[in-house]
Amino acid sequence: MSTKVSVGLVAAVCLLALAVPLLHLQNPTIGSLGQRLLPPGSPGHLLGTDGQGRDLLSRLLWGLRPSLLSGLLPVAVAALAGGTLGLVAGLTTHWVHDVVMRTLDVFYAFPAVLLAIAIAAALGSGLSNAVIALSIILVPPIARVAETEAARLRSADFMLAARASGASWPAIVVRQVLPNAAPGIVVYCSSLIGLSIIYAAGLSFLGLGIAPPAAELGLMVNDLRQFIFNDPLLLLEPAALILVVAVLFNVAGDSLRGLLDHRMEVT
Amino acid sequence: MAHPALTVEDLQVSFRVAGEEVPVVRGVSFSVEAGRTLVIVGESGSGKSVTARSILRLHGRNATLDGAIRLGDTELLGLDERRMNELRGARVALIPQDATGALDPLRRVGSQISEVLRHHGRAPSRAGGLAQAIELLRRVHIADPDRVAASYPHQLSGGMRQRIAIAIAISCGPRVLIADEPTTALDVTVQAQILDLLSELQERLDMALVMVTHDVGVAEQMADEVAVMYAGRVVELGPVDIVLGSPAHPYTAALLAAQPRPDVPRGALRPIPGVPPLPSRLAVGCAFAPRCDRRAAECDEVEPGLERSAARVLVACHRPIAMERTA
Repeated sequence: MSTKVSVGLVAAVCLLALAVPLLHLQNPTIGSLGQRLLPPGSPGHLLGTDGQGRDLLSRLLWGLRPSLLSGLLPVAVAALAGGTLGLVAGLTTHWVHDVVMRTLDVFYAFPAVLLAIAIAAALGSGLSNAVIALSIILVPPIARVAETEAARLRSADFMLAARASGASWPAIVVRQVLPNAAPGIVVYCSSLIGLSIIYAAGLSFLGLGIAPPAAELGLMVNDLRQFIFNDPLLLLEPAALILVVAVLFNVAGDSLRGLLDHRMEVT
Repeated sequence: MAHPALTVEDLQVSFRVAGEEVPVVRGVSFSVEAGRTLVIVGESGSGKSVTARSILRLHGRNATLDGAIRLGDTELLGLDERRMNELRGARVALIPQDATGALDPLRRVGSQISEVLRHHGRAPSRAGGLAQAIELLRRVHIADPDRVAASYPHQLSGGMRQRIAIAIAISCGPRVLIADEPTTALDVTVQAQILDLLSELQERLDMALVMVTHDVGVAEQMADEVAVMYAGRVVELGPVDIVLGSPAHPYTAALLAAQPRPDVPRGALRPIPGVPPLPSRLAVGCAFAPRCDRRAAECDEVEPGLERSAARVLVACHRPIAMERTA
């Protein structure tokens, strides 16, 4: 898929999520019990209804919002924190480097999902706690990428040339390191968004994310799971949406990487 | 008498590697007058690049520098980083070995040149800096400076990039120019052009030039004086025609014999047997002794000091090659 298409689709999904309140959808949290478990294609309920008779189209679209938020926000937070830590570790003394990187290695030692579950469980359920947990587990890998970039740049000749021209360290960090390290870090982070969306859905599936009756994709999967023998299509709807959105973000991230690699080739 | 543009006295550089001090430069002294060129020749690991970079104090934190380095009458080794940064690029500048890596790949050439000017307060405004950058590009004989100033480094050829690196180096009118193998990354025709350019600029701007190379041919073409380095020491120092014309040190002679020349038939090259010693495992005597065909007993016991062998030539050897010099 070309870069324009994949980035365009991601942008479309984000715009759709932003526009949900303007769409005059049915109330996503109140249903009518007389109309429970309608199959997809029913009049008035295009994608069917859930066990409490709530319109699934409305719930899916409303559920997209917390899912996207918990995909994007943790990555942004972790990019800032991990990026800073990694660059600092990559550019300063051995001593600081070792303290920062070995501390992060401790976090790295735990499987990411388990660590996220542990942190979210310790903090208590809720969207903000899930975001905090995901932010924490995303810091170590991003910091590693940033540290590698900084180490690569540290030995770059143009850094030496900048020093030979009389540039101070702060000036070099701002003018040379940040612009040259940013593309690599941004591309890596873009590939983490899809992952973060899936982790977030997993947390709410386990009841560690946003609380019912609010709509959230992972929560909906859990909720509709019990009706898998009544109508498996209903369960497939939120599950497929999670998958499609995560894959979209991954493809967009990959094509960004392709752009960057191409540029590196030319340079 | 006025101070030479650059004086290096008994420079010692060592690096702390894995808890051990490794001496890489062991007592190097030379001085260069304005308008003159000193070429430091030697093979890889002889300490020639480390010596050159020491003048700008570009080593990492694990380096220890001792001795004296003076720009005019300014002693550099005691200066703090802030003061040092005012001098770097302004009074002493570096032409890097590989201009391709020395330019920031993400920024246009013009902005990279004008940044140095603005950093050292030579250009008051962005537009003024860019105009000066274009003027500098013209001075290093780039045909269409406006287009090149608006280009990214990857859009230019290796020779052009080296010219740009030179333009950056001379941008603030330094008194001393350090060129660390400025032509090794270039093919031979471009190499000749760059060397011509350097000579021309040096004359016009009356700079002292310190050039590091492993290419004796480059040394012959560029140098007024030559310093031959081996294992962190200068083994022979003097005017280029004498040192390379009738070398006194066996190592200089061996370097010349290992150099391909148009007047020497194919297959007549004589490589130097053995490898240079590791700086961490230096023996007591002369560092070159194990590879030397004039080795004597004393060579293994006492490291020879630099002594005057002829008018204006210093040699560190117990058994220098006898003078068959006409003068």
